[in-house]
Amino acid sequence: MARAFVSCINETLLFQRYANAEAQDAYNNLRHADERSQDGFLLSLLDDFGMPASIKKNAFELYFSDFIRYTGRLRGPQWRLVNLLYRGRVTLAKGEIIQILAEAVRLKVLSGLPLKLSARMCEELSPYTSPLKHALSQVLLRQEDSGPVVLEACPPCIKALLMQVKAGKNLSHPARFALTSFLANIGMKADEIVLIYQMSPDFDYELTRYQVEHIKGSSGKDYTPPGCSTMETYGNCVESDDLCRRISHPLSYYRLRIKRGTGA
Amino acid sequence: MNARTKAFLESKFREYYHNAVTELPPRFRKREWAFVLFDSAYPKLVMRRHKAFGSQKELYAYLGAVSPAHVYYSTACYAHPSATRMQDKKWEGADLIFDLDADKLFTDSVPQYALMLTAVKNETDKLLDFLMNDFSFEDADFSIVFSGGRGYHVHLREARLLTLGSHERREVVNYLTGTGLEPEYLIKRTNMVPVPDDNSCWEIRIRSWIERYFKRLSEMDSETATTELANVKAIGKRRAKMIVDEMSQDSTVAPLLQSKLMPLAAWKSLIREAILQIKVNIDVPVTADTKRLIRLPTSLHGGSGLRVTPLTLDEFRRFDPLRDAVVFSDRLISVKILRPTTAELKGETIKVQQGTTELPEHTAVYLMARGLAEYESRRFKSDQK
Ligand code: SF4
Repeated sequence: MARAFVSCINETLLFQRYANAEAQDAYNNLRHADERSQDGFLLSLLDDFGMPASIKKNAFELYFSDFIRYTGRLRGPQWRLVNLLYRGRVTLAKGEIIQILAEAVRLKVLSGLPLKLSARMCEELSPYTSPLKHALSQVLLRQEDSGPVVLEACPPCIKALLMQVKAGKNLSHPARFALTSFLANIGMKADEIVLIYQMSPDFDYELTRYQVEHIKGSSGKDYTPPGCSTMETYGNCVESDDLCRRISHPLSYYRLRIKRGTGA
Repeated sequence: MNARTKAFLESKFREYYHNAVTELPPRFRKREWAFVLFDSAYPKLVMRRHKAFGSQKELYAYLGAVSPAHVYYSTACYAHPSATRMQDKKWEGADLIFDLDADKLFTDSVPQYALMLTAVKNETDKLLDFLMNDFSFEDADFSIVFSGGRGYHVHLREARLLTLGSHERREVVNYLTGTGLEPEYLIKRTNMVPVPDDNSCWEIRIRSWIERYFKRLSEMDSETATTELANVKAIGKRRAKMIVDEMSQDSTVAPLLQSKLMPLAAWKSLIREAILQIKVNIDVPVTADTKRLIRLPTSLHGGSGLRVTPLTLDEFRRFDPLRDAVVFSDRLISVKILRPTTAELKGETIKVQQGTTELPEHTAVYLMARGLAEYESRRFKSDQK
């Protein structure tokens, strides 16, 4: 029933919240229901999700591709393949396996939404769904109005890129993309962004303007800036600080800082 | 490149495609194909995309008819490979691809082609070592391909990998480049007792690198060793000397791990150095891209005339691209050299100066494809009288 509600409201943000909630439920159930979290039960669950595992010396062993499929969103060195892989497999504790299962639940729920429901059915549900819809649109509105740009609140990676540009260095393509799309997303105007690049030795007004506009979405596309893991891959995650540990996307860093007040 | 040269190259390529047995990727009906022809725009690359072939015969007929300069197919399989819009193709999965390119290895100066090829082959060897040990793939799981240009491609088609998204593929790349390795995390994780000489994870790779490092130091005279060690950040000259003295009594690393001589910061910078030496220099976006076009093995590379050569592991070990990827004959033809240059095909180093000269067909094709020569005639000048 809940899924039917969510499907009729048909809003991506809601799908995500809903899937998160189901994943959280699954996590709690597996954690706390003791006799159910017997190893055998977990193994058969893993099997159901298409990632056959084995148990060796009290620890679970997963094939690496099953592991990375469900851990991309999880932060911290204990989730990175680079710290774990041994002969094609990774070894995990029970608690970690439960976290992976919860993530599998989340993705499964998410990929199943929205349910294919008839318009009539949604019509019938509308007395219940329309107040929800209204409340949700308020939330979305608030999110879109991102307020003034506060450079102070940018994460270390973005600050470092800004410094480099100011020091007259040329940025690599991925770095330039990261910086531009980040600034555009926190509400900086195209003109202001172009001005920032003025310091680059290879500055070309027309070209920069074109690139910025393109990334900003005036040509109909909307680019989100790369997440922390992508930044890391291209070597653009530098001087990450304590707040970085709690987020997986530079934009979340920015929003958190804004929420807390930038003095934090 | 003038029209005569293009026509000549095209005819040579056609000859090749008539006789060659081309190797097709699995599920080739589900793949998008793309071609660059020796057309009026060439050598500017104008790609003809979104082709699909229902049978091997169809593809062969096409290759024979147009004899393209470059042939690519998609690493992805699609329900509708010939749809022109990406979202209509319906992605079903993609091979996992690794691209090793000499361009990535030499960013400052560009050495000679032969040297570049040797360096990139070594890099490929490193990748294969990671794939076989850390990832536990067997040689039947991957195919190695010389790109015909400046590098190698490695294709993995293990079923469980095909549906990995771009993000997950990047996690694999991060492994190969040692990105996100936390020296501290590695130092703390002491529960795993490694089997000696088993290069199957970063931890052991780093440990054995460090052992080799100290072994090398212990074989130097103490002054050189001290200078070398003092270069490691956070050690310093005084401490370096103490460590070297200690080592001369016992040349294994074990006592060092216990002693207070090496501070944590020193271990960390040593580990960083180890990572730099061990990691594979791989082209990141290629592996992360789930909709890439890649050269067809057994086709010809229009920029060199060399064969995009599929290799088994054994063949790879013995492979010399400048000998084994050459397909054209050594019959002499006459070309006009545009810029002085050197070519080293088939074990023969040929230095040429500007002007008209006669060269073996393979070298002539190579120079023309690279834009360094234009076609003159097939016959000896002296014959034409
Ligand atoms: S962790 Fe994320 S936000 Fe923090 S510096 Fe790295 S990329 Fe930026």
